[in-house]
Amino acid sequence: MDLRTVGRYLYRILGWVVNSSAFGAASIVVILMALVVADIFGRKVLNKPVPMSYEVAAFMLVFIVFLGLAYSQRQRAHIRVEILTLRMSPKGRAIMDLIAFTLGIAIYGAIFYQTFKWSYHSFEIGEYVAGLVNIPKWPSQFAVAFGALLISLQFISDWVNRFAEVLALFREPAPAAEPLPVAEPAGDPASND
Amino acid sequence: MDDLYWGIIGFAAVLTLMVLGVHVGLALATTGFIGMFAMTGKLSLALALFTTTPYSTTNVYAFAILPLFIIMGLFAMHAGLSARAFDAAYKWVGRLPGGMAIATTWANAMFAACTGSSVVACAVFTRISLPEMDRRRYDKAFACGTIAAAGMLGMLIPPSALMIVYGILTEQSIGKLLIAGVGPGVLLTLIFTAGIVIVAARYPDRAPRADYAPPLLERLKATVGVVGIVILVVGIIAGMYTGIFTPTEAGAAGAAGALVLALLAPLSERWIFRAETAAAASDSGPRAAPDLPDVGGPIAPPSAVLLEKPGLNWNRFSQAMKEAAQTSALVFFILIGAMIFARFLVLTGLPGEFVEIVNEANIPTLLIMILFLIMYVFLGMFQDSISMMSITLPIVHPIIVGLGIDPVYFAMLVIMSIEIGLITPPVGLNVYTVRSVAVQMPEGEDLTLEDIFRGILPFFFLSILALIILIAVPSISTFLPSKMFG
Repeated sequence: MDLRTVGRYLYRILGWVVNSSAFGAASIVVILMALVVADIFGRKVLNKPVPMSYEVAAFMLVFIVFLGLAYSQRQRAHIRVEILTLRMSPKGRAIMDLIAFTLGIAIYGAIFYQTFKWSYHSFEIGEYVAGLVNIPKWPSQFAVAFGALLISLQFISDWVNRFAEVLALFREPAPAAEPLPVAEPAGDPASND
Repeated sequence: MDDLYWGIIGFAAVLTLMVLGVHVGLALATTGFIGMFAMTGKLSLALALFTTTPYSTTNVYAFAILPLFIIMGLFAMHAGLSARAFDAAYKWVGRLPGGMAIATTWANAMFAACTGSSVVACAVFTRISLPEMDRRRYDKAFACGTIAAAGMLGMLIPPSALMIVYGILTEQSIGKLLIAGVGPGVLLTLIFTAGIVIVAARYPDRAPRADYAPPLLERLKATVGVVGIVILVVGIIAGMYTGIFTPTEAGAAGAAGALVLALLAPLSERWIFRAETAAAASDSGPRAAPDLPDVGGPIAPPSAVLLEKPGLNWNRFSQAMKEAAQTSALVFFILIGAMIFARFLVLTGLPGEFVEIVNEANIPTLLIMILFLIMYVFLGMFQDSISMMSITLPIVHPIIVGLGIDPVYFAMLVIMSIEIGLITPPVGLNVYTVRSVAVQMPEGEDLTLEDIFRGILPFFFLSILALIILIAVPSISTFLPSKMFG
């Protein structure tokens, strides 16, 4: 199996997880809106605020961001400065991409490692936010680890695909290699490639 | 003193990585991590940055405002607000010189009160008002310049994504910053309006005057179309101002309200605009033939101009939610990097040192402020606003506070300067957006970036004027937030 096939499979399989995770993030946006509106209504009209709504809303933001992180990378939405890279040759640009993706793997790999340990520890000792209802902290902490893992994997998949392209570029200097799937068209939430 | 060098090297490293095309969030995080390791020599300390920072940057109730205001904007778009606002504004001001350009500006101001993004506003209004202005033989460069410039309002008038990010980066009250944007936003709207009238009166060929005065009943009817959204916007701003809502709650209420409006849009479209839609159906022919003498005639309801009908279906709804999640993720991707970098910077002592240097140098406060603003205009020509603020604010904000300048006032000036950068070559983001949408339409196929930059020139000077007024009269920025509850 050549590298490009591997890359394509990686991209596809990962797509299912990343898209589902983005769907999760999107659903939590809806729930967040509903929760805060319910809290306003409860407090102003019924005089009964939703218990712990502030804390839960904060947790939800963690979920939204980290479940959506890999999806944003897959959509190539993360902001980069292109003033120089746009003027480079395809080879140069590909190499810059590889550098960027390598940093992405390293940084978010490290974040995954650190936060996973941290959330596991928190789970073991049963850390929670105290209040009317005690809310365990580990699910939201684990969401950080999960999101970091997922974006690292997405960076790995992007790296492999780009690397396969670079190889092709260097082997045959002719206009080589069909472009890698840059960003999938925004489709159904659960669409799995 | 050695530590300071680390800080300076850190800055150089971030800029180098960024220019090489590394994602901005990664460039910041990498530099923060390596810098921390290099300074302390302890890997565990550097790794500790990764343990808590991503979590503590996102686990904040006040920051949950961001996805909420994003979906509010998307719902408002699906409610057909932009088209109706344009319709209503045109019916009231269409008679003035440059009436359609003014209508574009005002509709943008209204749209800006629902959305926090200049880019979205530029894309939407290129589709809505460019064909209408073209039909009235407006100079295309002037028309596109108006649209790109009016897009600036998106980041000033609350809700504004930039204000939220500014608040997060400088640990200021997000609510106060949002409210403070009202004054500058209104000022810029008025200055643009005056400027358009002057340009149109002076050069009638750029914006032919329309003798268009619909009967009062029609004007009122068009106004009814925007009543819902006006009530919503006034409600959330007033709610924030009086302290009835926290800013996050205002975001949720706004989103829910806009959702209802979007769901009702097809209904109200049928009831309120039925007669006009019928008229539009018979009127839709001439648009293909631009030579028809319909200058000043009644405009077709812009909803017919939009490619999509307003309203929500499952697909649009889920798409909006996904977009909100994606945008939140990409903003916080940068912010997490910025926080990691900021912790490293604090350790180097660079911000504090800068404060001392500036204080001792005895340079007039005003001069320092203006230098900073020039820097922001300059950076805004090359870079997107969020990353620019992430890199500069950890240094600039302490200096400003150290000089005793009101940080809210300065925030407005910074946002205004960044926005000016967005309409200035070489990378003026608003201009790019307008062009990329325009070239897909029959009216703008042959538009070049130079055309639009030429058209935007008057607005560039007008915005500089607005910036000068904002500098000279701080109370435009500070009056509302100073009287604010909480």
